[in-house]
Amino acid sequence: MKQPVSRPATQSVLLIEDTPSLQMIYRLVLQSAGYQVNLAGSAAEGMAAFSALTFGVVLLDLGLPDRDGLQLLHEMLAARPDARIIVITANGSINKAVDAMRAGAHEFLVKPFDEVRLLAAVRNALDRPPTPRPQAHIQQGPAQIPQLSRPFLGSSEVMLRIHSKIESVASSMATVFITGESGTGKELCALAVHGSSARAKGPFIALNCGAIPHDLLESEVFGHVKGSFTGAISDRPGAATAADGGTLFLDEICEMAPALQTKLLRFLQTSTVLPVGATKPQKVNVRIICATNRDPLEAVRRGQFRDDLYYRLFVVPIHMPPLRERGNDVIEIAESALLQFAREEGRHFDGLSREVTDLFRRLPWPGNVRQVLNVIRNVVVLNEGGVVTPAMLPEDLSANSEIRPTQVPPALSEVAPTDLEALLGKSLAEVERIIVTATLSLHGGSVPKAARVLDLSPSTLYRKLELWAKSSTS
Amino acid sequence: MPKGSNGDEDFDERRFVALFRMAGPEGARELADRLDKDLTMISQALSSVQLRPDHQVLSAQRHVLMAIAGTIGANQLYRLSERLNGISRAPEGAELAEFLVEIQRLLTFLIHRVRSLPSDLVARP
Repeated sequence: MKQPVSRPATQSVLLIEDTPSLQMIYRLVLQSAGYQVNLAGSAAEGMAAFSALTFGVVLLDLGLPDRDGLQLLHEMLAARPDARIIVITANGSINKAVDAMRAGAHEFLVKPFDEVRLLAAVRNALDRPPTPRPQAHIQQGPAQIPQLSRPFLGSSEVMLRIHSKIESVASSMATVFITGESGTGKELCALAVHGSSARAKGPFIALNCGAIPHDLLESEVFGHVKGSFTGAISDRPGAATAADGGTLFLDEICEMAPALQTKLLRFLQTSTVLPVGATKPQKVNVRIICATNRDPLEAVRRGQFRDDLYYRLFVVPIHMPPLRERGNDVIEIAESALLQFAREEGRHFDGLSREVTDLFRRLPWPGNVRQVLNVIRNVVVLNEGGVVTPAMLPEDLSANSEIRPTQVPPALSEVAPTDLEALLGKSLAEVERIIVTATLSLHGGSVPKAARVLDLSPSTLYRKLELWAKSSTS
Repeated sequence: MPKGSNGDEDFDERRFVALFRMAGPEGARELADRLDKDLTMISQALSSVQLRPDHQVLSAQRHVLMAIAGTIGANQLYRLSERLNGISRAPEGAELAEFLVEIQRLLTFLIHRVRSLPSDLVARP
């Protein structure tokens, strides 16, 4: 194929992709849009090209045959911190993509993607200023949500009490146990405790215990030594070691496997870590903050969480209240988000209409602050500006407003008494299936949407559906 | 091959053809060759998994298959390979075997499509 005329370095793309057919398709798409494309089919080739030339954008497939793509990403960013690197991941490897973003990747693309998405990502990368590198510490956990520059907006009484508690607890070494529904800001609370403490200059390591496969979690927390299991090709420090001198935040702590709970307890008692395969423990100085969206005591009662670990961790509890219990905070958060997102998108909005503020106060916001931010982001992206009216809001949001009475917890308000009666007498498994099926139906069969509402990962939901399908046919 | 018989019931013909048109006649030949090789390699690897289950091989092939099928418009094949993950984690067998047979059928269809591109799309070798 005829190569396009040579362009400035900012219009050149380094494409590192090992599957020949995909490499060719991506190249064709990029060339047809006028980019000069250099190709590499392995990490070694990619690094050689990256070292020899300057590229406007690097497209890096994380699944390379000769090396882990994340390692290559780290190496490239170490050599050129301002490199704009878009990582490409396989479908189902979203955690890897999140790790890459936190390591400093500009954006990620999940295969398969079409040419519109590919070109938009490359164009955005070229248009935007270089991504500043994050702090030199690992962070693993839930995907980034749109966040406000001031994390703890809201002047409700309950939030003022939380601010005061964070300040009091920050100076001590006490373990903090944060509870609260999804989207209430548990990780931000943990960051605030860390940021107000004497350890603020130390690392803040976040691990989502529910997002990491059980068989990898021990290695993630405590590290491993070379050869301790298949794939352990080198010594690797775990999160507990990486957090030395700082804070280790264990999110979704109730999802931790029982065997690992025992090891965590030993770690808390001795302040030493024993990497997988190691024989000699290492001393570390770490403050633990943990969080869950479940009732931890209930998990103890059910035997899912060790009671001795619970009592050791539950030293200073902080409960993040759901947005529906925070009075006018929802308006404050929405208005602040509107200003910030409009600025980011280069648009001008004149605030929320009276109808919208009334509606926002009535809504139960099951997704809490995260849901408000997503709604406002949606409004800003899909509208040109002006006063935000109900017509600009996502359709399902307005549709749900009339069926939720003010100040009634959604768990009760969403189920009419007759429906609730229909559920009585059924096993918990049957009730779960009914709820999941109804939620799926409400969202037009979309597993990702239903999973978000049910606060499950899509893969968990797929597994449940497959299991039920299997049991129905057998 | 007619749609819906042995073929992908949700095959996006327009997308498939558009990719080859973008490549031009010479490029289309190369793209067809590459797709042929990649898909054949996946098919062979899955055949070995059918004989002797290997989760690692299955997982690696599934990722490549999803990426290729989704990119070129083989939507039914894409969806099946997406579901393969859950199926392959199930304790044992029969369902995985059935699934792989269906995936192989769709792969065969796709490889046939790639090998028999019309002459207005692709230069003769």
